[in-house]
Amino acid sequence: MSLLKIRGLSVTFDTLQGPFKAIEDIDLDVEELDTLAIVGESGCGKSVLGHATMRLLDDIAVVRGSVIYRGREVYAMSRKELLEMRGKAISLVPQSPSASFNPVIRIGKQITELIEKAGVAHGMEAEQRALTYLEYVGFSDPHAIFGSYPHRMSGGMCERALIAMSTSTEPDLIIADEPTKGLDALSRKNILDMLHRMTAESSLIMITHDLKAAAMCKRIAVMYSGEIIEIGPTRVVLEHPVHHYTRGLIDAQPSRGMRPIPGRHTICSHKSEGCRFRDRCDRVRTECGRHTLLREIEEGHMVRCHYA
Amino acid sequence: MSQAEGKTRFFAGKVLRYGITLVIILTINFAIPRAMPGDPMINLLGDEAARIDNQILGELRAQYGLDRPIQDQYIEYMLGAGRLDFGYSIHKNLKVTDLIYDRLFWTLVLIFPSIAIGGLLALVLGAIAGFRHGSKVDRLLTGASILMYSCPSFLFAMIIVTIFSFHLGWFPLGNISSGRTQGFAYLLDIGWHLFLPVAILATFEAAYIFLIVRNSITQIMGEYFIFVAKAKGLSARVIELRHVMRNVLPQFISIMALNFGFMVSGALIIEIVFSLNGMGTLIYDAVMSRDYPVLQGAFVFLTIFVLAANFLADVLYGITDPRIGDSMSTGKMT
Repeated sequence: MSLLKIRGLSVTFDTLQGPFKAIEDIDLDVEELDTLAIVGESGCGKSVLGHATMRLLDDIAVVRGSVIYRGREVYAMSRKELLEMRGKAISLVPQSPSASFNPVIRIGKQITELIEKAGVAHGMEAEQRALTYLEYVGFSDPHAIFGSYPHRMSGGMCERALIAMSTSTEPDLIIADEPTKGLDALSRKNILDMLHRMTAESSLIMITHDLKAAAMCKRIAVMYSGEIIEIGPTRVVLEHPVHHYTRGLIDAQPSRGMRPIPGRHTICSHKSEGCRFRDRCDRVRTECGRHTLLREIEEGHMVRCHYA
Repeated sequence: MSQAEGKTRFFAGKVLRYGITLVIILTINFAIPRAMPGDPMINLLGDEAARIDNQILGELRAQYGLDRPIQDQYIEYMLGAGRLDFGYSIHKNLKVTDLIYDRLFWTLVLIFPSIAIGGLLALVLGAIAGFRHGSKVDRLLTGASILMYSCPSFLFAMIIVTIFSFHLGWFPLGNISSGRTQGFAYLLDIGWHLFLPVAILATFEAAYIFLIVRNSITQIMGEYFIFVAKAKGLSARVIELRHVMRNVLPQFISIMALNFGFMVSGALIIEIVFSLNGMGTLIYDAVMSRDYPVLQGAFVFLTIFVLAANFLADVLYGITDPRIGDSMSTGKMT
């Protein structure tokens, strides 16, 4: 049984310009101890996918499809079950580290409240656990960080504290949303190493636009305009990309000469007919106007393209 | 610079700044009557001045020290203000300070419960509306408080008096007590007399602070850390009480402190409607009878109250919001 099984997941936001489909018809499986990177440009729906997995968008969007965690439908869970699941079974490492902590509550308190809520430990024991995890993420003086307020810490320090918080309950699945965003090269490497070390006992979904960070995961899913357009083992996808968007994304990396993909990323997917990348694709043909599904082209490697 | 040292420096700087403000206000207070056209004695005596001969006017001037050079008058005035001594009331022939102390006491008796009840009401109703943003309850409460806030307090007070005191006779028409009781019965009597004025002041206070609390909650609910708290699986109650209200607190406490300063003079209308002998009626009577020493003294007292309330608001904000507290001790922001 998969740890997480997502089927036909769509999220539609009601905007002033009309309904906006942020993600559409997503199918995804995550196994125990699996590590999956979700990559794509800003606005392609990566974070929405992460949030919808935890059923965090109920109040602000229309969500259709199903998310099955260990055989249980997340979208059929009671309020109580849902609260129990969040932070304990599935834990989020949120993006924007400095904005993720409550500015008027000490870091230690914000970590212990999660540990206590998850029922992992209570009182002094919970505090001790928080200190231990702060030490794990490389703080030489965890007591100082425990008693500190978020504004006294740098972005990198907040990111580490967030990782400590999200892993302190030993969740089955960690969804890390852009953990390296806005960090310099050295801090980025530290954070990634730490994240992988801390998630050795868990499954990880890493949402990122940084292919180097993604390369540390076993599998990679490439998203474009709300759809997964290619998914497969990381080495296969990065070394032999099939979809033209994936190729473009790899070529746009600084190490590959930073060649931009022509055209503009259409984030609003009003046209659900046909390939969404066709306006920017240099291989576009008439068939591209027809909708296409993800097709398996080799073991575990799937692509959404008529010409794959 | 250590944190304690930084805090001391910060407070020293604050006290100095408030001191300078006070001196400037005292100076303006000294200058205004003297900058006005005409003779202060004639102003003081009004119509009678025409019938008094110049010699007596000169003697009166000497009695009030107005014949001396302006700098001597200023120094004497400032020394007097330093001792909170503003001389004698022209009309009541009492020491201005004694008069003010007596009136200030009753004003504080009126505004303390009003602020406490109003603030509590605002906090509870603001939370109810803020956490149900856009709901019927929210629209009803917000509409009512805007209506209340835009309604002139004297009109509202007079309507209330007409209904509850005049027609129904449930409460007295005015005054602080019936003056016939003693001991516990006296306190009850005061409570009965102050019920309507306190209720009206508390309602106005609540209407104003309600809007601040409600908007503050609405804004904080949209912050990213609230989303993160939801992702942590915290219950709605924990998020509301611990994460949202804790962030509303600094603003709430400082606005309460500021309001306290303004209420000392702001209760004027209510004091007049209910004929309560507080600071408001004292100032009103002093204006009517051109009792300048009383006016000057009352003005200085109000200034001190407003400045003290500002100072308190500053300090409480620093204590409840660590970001402000830190900038205080590092001196980055004051």
